[in-house]
Amino acid sequence: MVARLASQSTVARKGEAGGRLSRTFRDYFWGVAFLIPAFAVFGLFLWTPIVKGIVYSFYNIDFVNGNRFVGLTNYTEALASSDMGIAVRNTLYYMFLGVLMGFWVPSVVAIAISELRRFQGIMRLVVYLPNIVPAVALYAMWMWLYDPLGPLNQLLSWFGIGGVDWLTNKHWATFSIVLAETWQGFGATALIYLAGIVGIPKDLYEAAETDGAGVFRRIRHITLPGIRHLYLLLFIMQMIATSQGFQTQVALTGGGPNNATLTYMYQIINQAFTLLNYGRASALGVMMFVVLTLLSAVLYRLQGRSPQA
Amino acid sequence: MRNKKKGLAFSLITLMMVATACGGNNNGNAGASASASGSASASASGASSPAASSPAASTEAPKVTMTIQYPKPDNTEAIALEDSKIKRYQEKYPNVTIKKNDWQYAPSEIGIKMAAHQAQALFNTFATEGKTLSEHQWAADLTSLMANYEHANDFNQKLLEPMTIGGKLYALPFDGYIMNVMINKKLFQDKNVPLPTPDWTWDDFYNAAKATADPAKGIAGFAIMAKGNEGGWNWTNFLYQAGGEAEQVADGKVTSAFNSDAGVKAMEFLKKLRWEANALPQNWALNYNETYNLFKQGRAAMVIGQKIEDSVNQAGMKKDDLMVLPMPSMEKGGAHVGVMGGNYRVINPQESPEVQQAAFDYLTLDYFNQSGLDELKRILDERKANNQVYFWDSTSVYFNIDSDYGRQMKDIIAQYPDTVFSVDEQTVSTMTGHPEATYNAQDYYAAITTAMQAILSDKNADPKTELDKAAKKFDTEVLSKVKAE
Repeated sequence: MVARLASQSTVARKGEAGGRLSRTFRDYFWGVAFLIPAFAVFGLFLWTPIVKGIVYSFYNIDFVNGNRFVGLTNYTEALASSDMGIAVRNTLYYMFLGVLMGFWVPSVVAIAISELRRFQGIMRLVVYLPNIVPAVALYAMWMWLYDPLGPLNQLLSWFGIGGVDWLTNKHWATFSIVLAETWQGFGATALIYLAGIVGIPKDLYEAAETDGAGVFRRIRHITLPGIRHLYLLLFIMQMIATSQGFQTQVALTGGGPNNATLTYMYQIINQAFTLLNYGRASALGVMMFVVLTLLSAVLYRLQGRSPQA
Repeated sequence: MRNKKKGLAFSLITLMMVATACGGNNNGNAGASASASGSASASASGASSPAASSPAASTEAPKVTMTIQYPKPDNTEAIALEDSKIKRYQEKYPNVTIKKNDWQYAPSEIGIKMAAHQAQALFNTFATEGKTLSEHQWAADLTSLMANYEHANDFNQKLLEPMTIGGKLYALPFDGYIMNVMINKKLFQDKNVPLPTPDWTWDDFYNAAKATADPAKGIAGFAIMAKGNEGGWNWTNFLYQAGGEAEQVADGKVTSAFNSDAGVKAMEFLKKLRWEANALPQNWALNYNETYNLFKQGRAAMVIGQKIEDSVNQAGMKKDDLMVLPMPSMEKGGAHVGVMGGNYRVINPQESPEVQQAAFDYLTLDYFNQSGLDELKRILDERKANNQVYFWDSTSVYFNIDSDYGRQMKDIIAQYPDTVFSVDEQTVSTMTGHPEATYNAQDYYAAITTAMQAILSDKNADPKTELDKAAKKFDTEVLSKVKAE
């Protein structure tokens, strides 16, 4: 009798568990089903390449004759390469110039637009326009602007300044690239700042105006503290983006003159697609991945500390 | 419930679409199913199928689908030529379905293309690539196909050399070249500078470049390629004229040789043109297209290489304003050496033997045949009707110029004196071709371009130091891994 009761109890428990499972399945099935495509896409095109890149960094890659394990050789050769120091130095300089020339521009523009009483909508559109220009057209335009007989040198000549070799002088080439990129990119970042400014309670401004605060005091005491968290976020994001810069370098200078604009990422592209050395390119990529992961960790920590995070 | 089923079906379809999107493009198929899918995709991808009603359609020959390299959409002249060839080929081989793909060979892309099995069954490459293609097994060994080919011994043997590796042939030439100098005579006349003659030297070249340059107007006396691998390719002409070599082989090892005295002389000559004569473009870091664009805009008096057809037929320059001379010799009486290279067609070894045979038949369709002569005549008639020019350089043809076939070609050419732009006999007789570097030529060119840029961007840069730097890097990172044959 006891055994029979125990057996019935077990069946009941099993039934209950089955019911719970079935309910759980019903509750989550469609959610999971809709996630599968996203997981498949991310798995195939994001996570698999990351894992494969790490694996490849330990191999001599030969897609036809088969790969050969080489241990840390790709890493040691990459670090010993004469291009490594040049590329790291150029990348750091490029990142530094990006901050110096470009970081402050979007916030200044955003604050200026936010202070406009009229035409705010038009101005937002105008500053975003460079982002809409296709990259090919953009690079062609900058090649024209930087031509020895182009508009920029014409402009300088009106002030009695001799022509500048924008892209063929090693001291000017990175500057020219950052200038072009700042022009192209500042609009999108300005819109982020503007969104932050819009989020600042209006009554603060009204109270300040009632107290007789002028434009600059309003900006200093309300706007800038209100978007402080964005400065940190966008600074780290700019660091991450510029550390991977290579596109404009490829289009405008080809890494020259004399490797003056050869960046770390451009070096990876060269290793993979010019020298067909996919193993070393992967090793370089893994090292960059580690550095960018650390930068991302810093970003998350800073976001966590931010009062508006 | 019905909605849930729909949702499930939608999810599955989405997943299948994602999965199928990742599938490779296998061109090397044969058989009925391949043919069916080939024709289905023909209208979408620009494939050309043999007419089903073709009287020559054979039921015995296996059906084969082959992808060939097709010209880019903006190259209308080449498209017309290729379409004509496809039509003639399919009349002869109705069992072959041809798919067109306009990917062009690039050293930076071939690895990816082969790994993805997406390179055409037949694609074009250039003379420097023989070693790379054979080492990676990215080019089919043509030995067995050539064994059954009646004209195997009628080729211009000089042009076969770069693609003959270890006794095996990996590609067939369709044209070749010995680098020369293309001149805009109008810019010489504008400055009252006498035109140079085929026996010119570096001094003559320097004086001509200096005299025709007008930096205030953005006109360069001489535009040399100095960006990308093209820079090294252009500079190597001066290296060879000075008697230098790019590489040397000793004790089974390959090492750099371009940092020799000859290399230093060649680099010093370039330095003089840039800093002393101010004859180069102010934005001197030009790649292949940018250099010729400058020439076509009338902003460069001299460039290395020739783009006669492009300059006249596309850019509207006048035939009479153009001139082609051999490369200058370093000293009076010296050799007028130019880099000798060419364009080749490669058969993809990943394809089935049937597709490889079809590709070989397509490749050789007009070779040594009446159809080749007819095609030349048709092109010349067409160019004549359109007031366009046809460039003819007898040193650079795939066949032996002194053969019967060569003589027939020359006879046709002679019938179109106003349409043909040919390099005159005196120029041809002075031109000496020197093959490109054997080992990792593209990497060598890249190393040289960096040294060139150091010289061109810094007045105080020392040619010997920069060449030594380039040689050390090239030896350590590239040649140290190469086994000499």
